[in-house]
Parts: sequence; structure tokens; C-alpha cells
Amino acid sequence: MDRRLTFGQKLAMGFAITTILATAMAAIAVYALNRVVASKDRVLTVNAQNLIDAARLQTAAARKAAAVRGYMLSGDPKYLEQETEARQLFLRTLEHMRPNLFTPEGKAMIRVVEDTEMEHQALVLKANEMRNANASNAAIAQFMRGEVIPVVERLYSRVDDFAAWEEKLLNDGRNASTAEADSAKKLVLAIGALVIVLAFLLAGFFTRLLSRQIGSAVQDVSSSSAELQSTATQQATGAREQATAMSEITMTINELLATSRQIAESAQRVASISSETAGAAAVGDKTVQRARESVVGIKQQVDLIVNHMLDLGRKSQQIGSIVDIINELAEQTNILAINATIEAAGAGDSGKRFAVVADEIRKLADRVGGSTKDIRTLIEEIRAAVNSTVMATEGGSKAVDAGTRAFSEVTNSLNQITLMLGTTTEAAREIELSTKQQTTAVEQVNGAVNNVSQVSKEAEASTAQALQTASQLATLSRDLSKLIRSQANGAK
Amino acid sequence: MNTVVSKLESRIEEMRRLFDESFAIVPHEQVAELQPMLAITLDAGRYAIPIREISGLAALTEKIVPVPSRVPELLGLTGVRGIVVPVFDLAKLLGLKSQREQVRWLVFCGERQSPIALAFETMERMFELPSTEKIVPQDGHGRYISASLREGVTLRGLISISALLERIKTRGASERRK
Repeated sequence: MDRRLTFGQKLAMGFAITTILATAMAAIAVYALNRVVASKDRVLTVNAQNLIDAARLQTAAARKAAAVRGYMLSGDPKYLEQETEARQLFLRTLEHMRPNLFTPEGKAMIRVVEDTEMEHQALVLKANEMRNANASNAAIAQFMRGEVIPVVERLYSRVDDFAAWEEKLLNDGRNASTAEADSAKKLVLAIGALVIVLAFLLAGFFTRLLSRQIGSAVQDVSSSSAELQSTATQQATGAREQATAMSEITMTINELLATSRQIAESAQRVASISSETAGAAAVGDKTVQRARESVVGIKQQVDLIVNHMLDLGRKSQQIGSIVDIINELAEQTNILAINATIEAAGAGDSGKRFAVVADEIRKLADRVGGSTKDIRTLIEEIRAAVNSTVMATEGGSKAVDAGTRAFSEVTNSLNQITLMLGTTTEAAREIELSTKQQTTAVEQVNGAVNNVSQVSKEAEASTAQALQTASQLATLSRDLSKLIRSQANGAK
Repeated sequence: MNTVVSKLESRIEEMRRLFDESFAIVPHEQVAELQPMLAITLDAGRYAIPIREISGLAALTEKIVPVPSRVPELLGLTGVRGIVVPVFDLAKLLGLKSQREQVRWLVFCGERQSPIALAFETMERMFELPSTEKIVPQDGHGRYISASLREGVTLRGLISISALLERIKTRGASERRK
């Protein structure tokens, strides 16, 4: 069987074969029935009619014989009319029978009957002439007994023979028709059995073929439904995630919308503040000019301080020189005091009082020496402080110079700031306008995203429905597979 | 800086007060006998010279002129107040490491007409040692360190100038005989 045929074509082909077989069986049955009917018709239309006509012939012959006897006995003319009507009936019946005679025996027997009736009619006419001639009853009776009655009896016998012959034909036809009907019945039964066997074979073949192919298809459908179920599950998950993401996007867009409005308000405030800042920058420019003049004055004062500090450093050095001299004097005094002590010690008791004075002088020299060390330390500290101050002051002077330059730069910067503030104001207004447009766009996007979110939710619902459908399809495929297996097992 | 100035001012005030008071105090008899000592430093060691054994102290301001001599402790000759004075290395006389380039001070001893100068590195100060708490007998430091004395927390070797003079004279005589 061609696998490229569809199931419908295969089923149609199976039904077509079954229909052809049924049609053939029906045609054969019709043919057999027609033959039986024809046989019955022939039996009914020919043999039965001929049998009826034979009976009519018997009746007509009897009625003619009765009319002849009546006329012979009474001489009444009505018997002649009855005789004539009976003979006409007899002849019409013969004429009516003649086309239905198909057998030579039948035709020969009819011809004998006809000849016998002609012979009888001749004798009847002769008897009638005798009656009309008023012959004696004895002569008539003798003529009747001697001539007419034997012919009548022979006529009756021929008609009876014909009737018996027709009855035999009728029985033979009936028997033949019954036999034909039996053979047709057997043929129809045989063909029916053949058709049933073929139908069973075709049913089994198509059942096995379709079960195999449908089973394969059902397996495919089952696996596809499983994949579809998995895909639907994934789609459901994705749809839920998408719905969640769309909700987050909606929230974000709402926040973005609020932010855009805040930006618009901020841009408006920036424009206002820029205008105010431009005025403040102009005021600041003037302030910077005054500050610059003040800085120039500070620079002069710092230069003066530097000069004073340098003088202070030089004088500190001079003080140091003087302290060196004092220290040297103290050392010399100390040496002199020690030498005085030595001299006093050499002088014995007379030098004790002098030794006391020398000791006081030595102590004084020690104190002076210690003081000169402190003074030197102090002077060093002063000089270090002066140096630090000078350096710091020079740094301050440089800082003032840098400040002066910076003020010039600040002035230029303020001018630039003023110009840029104008640009900023303009830009802020443009930002405000753009932000308003952006807000409108974001609102439109928000609406679109809401629609998309709704679509996502609907898609989620549809996916859930698809998942349910896939589950139902999987269940259906399992049921169908079970059904096919059970049928296949039944077919086996 | 203000702290330093105030400290200096207070110091000056104290000096002025002590100076004035020194003239106001009545001279008094010393309760205990004090021995004046000259504190010096030799080769990083602390020593003391009795004032009574020397005849003068001077800072080395003039150049010491080396002279040929068989005495290694003799640094040379110098002039002090118009007198030519032989200068001996005190550290070398005591057997210590000599720091000739760092010699700054001279003490004079011996006769006044022909003194001898002993040169050393650092003169710290003069101090007076009570005669009641003195001197711990010295062992093992040679015969020129006669004792050890305690000045506060510092131990000083007491240099015997007379012993040194004796040695110098002895060596001078022997050299002259040679």
C-alpha cells in the first residue's frame, strides 16, 4: 500500500473496496433475483395462463356439449346461441393460447385439440341439421351416441391431456424457478461470505496499517505534546517573568516620569537661579575689583613686613655677636676668678676673704655664662623665627602676587561665568522644554508599557491556557495510544 | 617665643638680685673646710685637680711650638704673660690616650718664676669639696691618681700634681745627665 496516501484516502479506498464487493454482491443478487423472477414470471404468465386457458377450453367444451344436448333435447334456438358462444369462447381461448406455446409438444397438442374441435363442430352441425330436419330422437340419439359423444369425449380427453401437459410444465417451471432461486441464494450467500471475509481481511489490514501509522503519529503527537507542554511551561515562566519585568518597567517609568517632572522643575529653578547668579556675578566682579585693590595694599604691607623682619634678623645677628663677647668676658672672668682662687689658696689664711670674693665672682661668671647660653638659644630661636617669618612672609608675598593674578583670572572667570550663565539660562530653558516633551513622551511610553503589560498578562493567561491545552493533548494522546494498543492487541 | 623671653627676663631678674645680694651679705666664717677643685675631662674620663697644687689656669690662645726632646710627654713651648713655659701633655703623663689636637686649656704648676704647663682637653668648672667627705683611697690607678672622689653622682680621679711634677723633674734630670 502506498504510504503517501492519506488516511482519508486509505479509509476511502477500504470503503470503496468494501462498497465494490457489496455492489458486486448486490449485482449478482439482483441478477439472480431477476433470473428467479423471470422464471417465476414465465411460470406465472405462460404455464399458469396456459393452464387457465386449458381450464377455459374444458369449460367451453363442456358448455358447448351441454348446449348441443340442450338443443337436441329441446330444439330451443337459445341453445344454438349458447353453442355458438361456447365455440367462440373455445376458439378465442385457443387464439389466446397460441402465442404462449413454446414447446413443440404443446403446439402439437393444441393442434390436435383444434382438429378434434373442428371434427366435433362438423358433427354438431350435422346433428343440428338432423334436429332442424326433425329427425327422430332415436336417430339423433343414435347419432349422438355413435358419432358426437365419442368425439366430445376425445375432445375432452385432448383438452385434459393439454391441461395435464401444461400442469406438468407449470410444475417443471416452478421447480426450475425454485432451483434457480436456490442456486442464486447459494451464490449470494457465497459472495456474501466472500465479501465478509474480504471485509474482515481489509478491516484487519487497514486496522493494522492505520494502527501502526496512527500509533506512530500518536507517539509523535505525544512527544510533540510533551515538548509543547515543556515549551508552554517555559513560555508561562517567561510570560510571568515578562509580566514581572513589565511591572518593574512600569514602576521605573513612573519614577522616570516623576524624575522628569522634577528635572523640569529643577531646570526652571536653574534658569531662575542662573539669572540671579548672573546678577551676583556682576556684583562679584565689582567686589573682586575692590578686593584686588586691597590685595595690592596688602602686598605693600607684606613687603614692608619682610624688610622689617630682615632688619630684625640682622639685629639678632648683632645681638649674637654681643652675646659672644659677653660669653667670652664671662669665661675670662671665670678664669680670672679661678686664678684668684688659686692665688688666695696660695696666700694661706690671709687669702681666705679674697677667696670668698673670687668665688662670688666665679659664680657670677658662671651665671653670666649660663645666661649667655640661654640668650644665644633665644637669639637662635628668634633668628629661626625671623627666618621662618621672612620665608612665610615671602611666601605670603608670592601668595599675594598669585592672589592678584588669581583675582585677574577670577575677574575674567566671572566675565566668562556671566556669559556662560546666559548660555546656561538658555540651556536650562531648553532643558525645561525638552524635559516637558520628554515627560509627555514618557507618559506615552507609560501608556504603551501599560498596554504591553496588559498584553503580557494576557499572554501569560494564554500561555497558561496553552499549557493546559498541551496537558490535555498529552492526556488525549496517552488515551489514544492506549486505545490504539488495545485495538492492536484485539486485532492480534 | 614669649615663654623664652619671660624666662630670660626672670633669669635676668634673679641674676640681678643675686648680684646685689652678694654685696649685701656679711662675710662669715666657713663652717667646714672646703677644698677647691678644678673639674676637667681627659680621654672621656672625669678627673679633678686640687686648686692648692696649681698656680694658675689659662685658656690656650697661643700656639704651642714643638721642640726636640726625648721626653714624649713634652708638647713644646708657649708664651704666657711674657714667660716661656714648657707644655706637657697631661693625658700622656697619666698614661691615657693623647688628644693633642683637642688641647684647649693649660694649668700651671711648679715655681712661679719657671712654671710648667699641663695641657688638657676640657675644663668643666671649679667646685669645692668638703674636707669631711672626701676621698676614697685609690688602688691600681698609678701613683699620679692619688684617690677617687665623689661629686654628686660622678666619680672623679684626683690627680696628684705634686707627683707629676716630681716625675717631670726626675725625667728632666735623667735626660740632662744623658
